[in-house]
Amino acid sequence: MKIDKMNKKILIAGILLYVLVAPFFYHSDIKEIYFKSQFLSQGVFNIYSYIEKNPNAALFGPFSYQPLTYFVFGILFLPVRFLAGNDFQQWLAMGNDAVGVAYLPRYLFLMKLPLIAVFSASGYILSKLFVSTADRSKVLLLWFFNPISIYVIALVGQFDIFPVFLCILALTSASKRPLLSAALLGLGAAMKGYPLFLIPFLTISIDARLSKRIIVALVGVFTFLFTISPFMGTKSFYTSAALSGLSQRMFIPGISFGFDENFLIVPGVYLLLVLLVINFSLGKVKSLYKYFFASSFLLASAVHFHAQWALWYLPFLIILLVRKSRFSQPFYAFSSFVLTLSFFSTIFLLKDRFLTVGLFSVFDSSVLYLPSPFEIISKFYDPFVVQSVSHTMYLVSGLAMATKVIYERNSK
Amino acid sequence: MREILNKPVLITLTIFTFLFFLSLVVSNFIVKYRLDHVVYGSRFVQINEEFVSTIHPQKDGLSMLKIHMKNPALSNKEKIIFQLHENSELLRELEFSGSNVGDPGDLDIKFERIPDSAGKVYQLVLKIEGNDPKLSIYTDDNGKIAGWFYKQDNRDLSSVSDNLISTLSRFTSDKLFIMIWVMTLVFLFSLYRKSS
Repeated sequence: MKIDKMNKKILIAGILLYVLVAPFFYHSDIKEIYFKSQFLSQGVFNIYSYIEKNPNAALFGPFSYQPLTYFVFGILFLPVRFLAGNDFQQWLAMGNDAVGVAYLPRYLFLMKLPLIAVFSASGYILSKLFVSTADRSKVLLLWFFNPISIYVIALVGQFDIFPVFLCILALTSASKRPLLSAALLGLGAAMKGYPLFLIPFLTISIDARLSKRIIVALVGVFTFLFTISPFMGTKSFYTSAALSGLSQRMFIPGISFGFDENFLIVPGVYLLLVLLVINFSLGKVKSLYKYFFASSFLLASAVHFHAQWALWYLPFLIILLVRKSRFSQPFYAFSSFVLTLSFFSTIFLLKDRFLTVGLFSVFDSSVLYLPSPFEIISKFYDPFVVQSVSHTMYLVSGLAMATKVIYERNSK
Repeated sequence: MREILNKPVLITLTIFTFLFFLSLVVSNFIVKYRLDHVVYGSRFVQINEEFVSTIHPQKDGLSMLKIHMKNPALSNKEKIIFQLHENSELLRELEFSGSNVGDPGDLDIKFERIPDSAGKVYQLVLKIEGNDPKLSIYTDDNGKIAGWFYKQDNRDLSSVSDNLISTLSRFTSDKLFIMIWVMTLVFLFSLYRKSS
């Protein structure tokens, strides 16, 4: 595949930004994932039972991610340790605020490098979904230079880019190779659960007979089940990975029916989206990105979310904005602006100071003693009210775009 | 605007410069406590009744210690007395409880700023009134207290320039990192120039 000059320039300039910024900002999550995955190099296959039997080995609690994450980072750990030096492993075992060590910029740079590589490849593949050079340029500019990507990948360093990469590949192969697409979603779910929720949309959108649709769905689900099958007999796998995070939180937001019954917002809206795709986009794979956006945005925003979850929907949002030059329409431009602003105001009001002032601790560890925005606002006003307003704006701005784009297509 | 979009590396440099200066502003102008020096530890040492060690601040303004202690099962809730001496003269004294000590956990001990601490040698004393179970403290191989030692600056320009230099020297002192990082940047720049 060839890449034209202009887009090559944007791609390289984008990578340059992430490589420049990566060593200067620290968040403890990337350290924790490398620490927990290092046990693979010691021959530990089942990390869940290992931590259950050796609680002292798990300084940062149980391994709360899907198995493939453990194997990917367990393998990445080896070259990173080789380049980082002998003290790296010792540093990984230190507390989250161990920012006083001499080689911290080196560690951060090396740990984030694989993420930057996958992030860059994702941007490149995403741009290939468009035919015109101008559209490809827009995709690359939005992918590399939007504040959410910079924050999540370059500053914090979150591994969610791996399943996101697989979801982008799944979208690109959906029309011609739906079985591969489903397998990629299953593989993505083997790192983070959310791609499982995209499988129904793939199954419905592809142009195929019912039997083929069923096979596609089964391939997706069985790929996921295959990766977790060695751990299905481990009790702690269910408590620490399978039933944590999203799978629990999605059942929390609700509106009371009375008598202890609730309308569950996330499953309810998700079902609505499934019904909409059946009604509007049965066999229309070109519309798939809209439903990938709507469903991943719903999962990443209608619950108490982590910053990195924004990556889940970001590629599909970028496709949505660039296709038909929607970003130049006031509705989409304003909604995207509100979405970005409210995303950061919600995240910055989380109590975790590593998400804000702690990021600067490479420059001086003393920033860890600065009050977080949450603590500052709590002196004047209830920070939870401010955060709730931001979160509501975030959810509404994204859902408004999803609603409009689904309606837009079908009103013509 | 079109000019900028035609030279995307300008966007890269603008964002990088913004983030870099934001970091410098936050870490140099907003923080209250600034790192003076670190003593890396390697083991826990049990404290019987009293623990004595020395502290060697490098700058003026010593005002906080962050040490690492262990309170088995969080059971010790007795009074702990922290003292700082200079040539047997008591400079600072604080009391806290074993309940403040984790299993293990970091402990921040903040006290009134010592304005002329640079180059001095202070004796740190921790006295524990009840010793069941025994607390432990993290030390280096020689039994010297490990931890992070902080100072509070006078907010003048000389301290800002000192801090800037010490911040930047952290990056430049790691030769291997600089080599890998700069080589990656040079490689990317050369690719960028070729594509122009």
